Amino acid sequence: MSSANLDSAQPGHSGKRARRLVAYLTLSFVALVSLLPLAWMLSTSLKSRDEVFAYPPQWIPEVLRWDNYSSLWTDFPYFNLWIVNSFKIVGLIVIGQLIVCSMSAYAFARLNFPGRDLIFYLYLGSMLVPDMVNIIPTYIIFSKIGWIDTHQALIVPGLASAIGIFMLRQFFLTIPHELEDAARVDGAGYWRIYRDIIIPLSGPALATLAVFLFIWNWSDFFSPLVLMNSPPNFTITLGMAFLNDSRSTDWERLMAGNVISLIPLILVYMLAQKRIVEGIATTGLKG
Amino acid sequence: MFIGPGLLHSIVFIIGMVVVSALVSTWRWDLVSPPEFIGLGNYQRIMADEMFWLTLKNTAFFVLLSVPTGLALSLGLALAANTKLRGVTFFRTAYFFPYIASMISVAIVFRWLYNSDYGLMNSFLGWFGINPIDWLGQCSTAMPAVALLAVWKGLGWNMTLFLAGLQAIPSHLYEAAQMDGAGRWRQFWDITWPLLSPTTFFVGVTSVLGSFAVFDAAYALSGGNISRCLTFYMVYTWQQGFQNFDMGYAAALAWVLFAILGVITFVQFRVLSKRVHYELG
Repeated sequence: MSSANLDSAQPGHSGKRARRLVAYLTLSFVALVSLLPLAWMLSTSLKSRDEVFAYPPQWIPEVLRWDNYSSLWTDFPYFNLWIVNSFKIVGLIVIGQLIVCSMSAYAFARLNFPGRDLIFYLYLGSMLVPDMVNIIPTYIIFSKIGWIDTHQALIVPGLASAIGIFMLRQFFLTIPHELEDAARVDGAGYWRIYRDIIIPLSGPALATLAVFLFIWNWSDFFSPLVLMNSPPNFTITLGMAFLNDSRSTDWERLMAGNVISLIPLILVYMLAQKRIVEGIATTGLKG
Repeated sequence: MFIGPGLLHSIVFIIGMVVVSALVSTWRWDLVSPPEFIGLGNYQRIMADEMFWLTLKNTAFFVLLSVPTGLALSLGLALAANTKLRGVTFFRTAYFFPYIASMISVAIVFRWLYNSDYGLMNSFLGWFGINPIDWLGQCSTAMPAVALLAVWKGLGWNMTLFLAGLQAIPSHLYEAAQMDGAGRWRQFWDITWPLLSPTTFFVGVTSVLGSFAVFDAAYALSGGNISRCLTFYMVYTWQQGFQNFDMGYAAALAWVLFAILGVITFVQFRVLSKRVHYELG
């Protein structure tokens, strides 16, 4: 809203032009810096070994070596599995959280029960607890019940989160009460209202949460690092770190693997870009 | 009934784990032999542990290097983007790519960029006649290298927050200021800066919390062999817990981190929130 008047803030035409130019140059420079490392990753992923180690660096390979990609599957026998594992783990976490968090958020937004606000503040406070505090007992308990190196060790702790409950509660609070009052007159209980009114109206909020959960959990490294042991069980993020350690100068294929591991994130981002930006703008701040 | 599943989950995974973790921090335990209760022994050991102080110093240095830089750059960028220019949407999309990419992947890319013999960074600096630098091989450059990666990755996120804050400032305030003859600089300090302060505060507090937990970047930039100068607090705690299996000590280290973060956040709220203007923002 303030943008229009910033432009016309000063009378002189040449001043305005100069400012515009500076703004453009700044924006373009930062865009270049933001994208350059990713472009370099793509470029390296399609090079031959000689081109990778050419100096000065060469941006466009003579021949595009797509076999850097296909050899990921043949040389790293678990590469396939890592991607499948990531989709499975992240998919189940997203679905689980949408169900569990939306129910809790509904309770916090609409139901009256003793200690509601206290519990809610405890949830908010729990976001400050460092991951380290939780991961140590998680590891200990999972090692006692034989869950180390299994996927449920990653899925089960991820099935609810304070941030998910918080985001959805903020959204539910904006849904007008009138709809529910009308439904209640018709004899609908809490469950019917949750299922038939709240959830259908919350499509955008649920989608935003799903997108964020996908991005965060796909990128999660610390929990898989601690809880997984054997390469067939790795997620793609842990797998890439594993290759980074064990094949540390195999640059063209490290970059190819990176490109593959980033494609789902980029696709989700492209599909839901507006949602992400609005999600940050509304839920990030109105706390 | 609604809160049931969520509550059960958090009782186990938040409260339960916090309690167990506090308990374990009073033990000497390697997971195999029976635990031995040593009271505050682990905490006493921490205070005398040279590596604790070193890793805390490394982490604090990283926070001081990356957070103010990140705040200043993202605010500047948001100011530049908060104008009616063609193509602003494209720019915002570009800035956000580093945020959505996983830290492990981009840190692997940066390890390649920082490569001393074939890296893009040194070849770029070569244009200006600067000799190749072994970025990750020495402490004096490894720390700024990690900070640069962190700032680069967080820029789009922080800018989006600042932009939302800027767009919430009512435009009539600027119009009034112009009528009074206030220049752009005055407008920034008298209107933008105070009214943006809730956003700045929020971005600052969350950046400090996030930066204290730095782990992935140091891990992947090191390629499996984390040097002393990139051993941050989380890295050290992880090594104690999951490489030495000194569970009690690692749990105590985690609690000390929690306490440090709690104090820092509390101080930020006490000192800074007085200067935050909420009336109009």
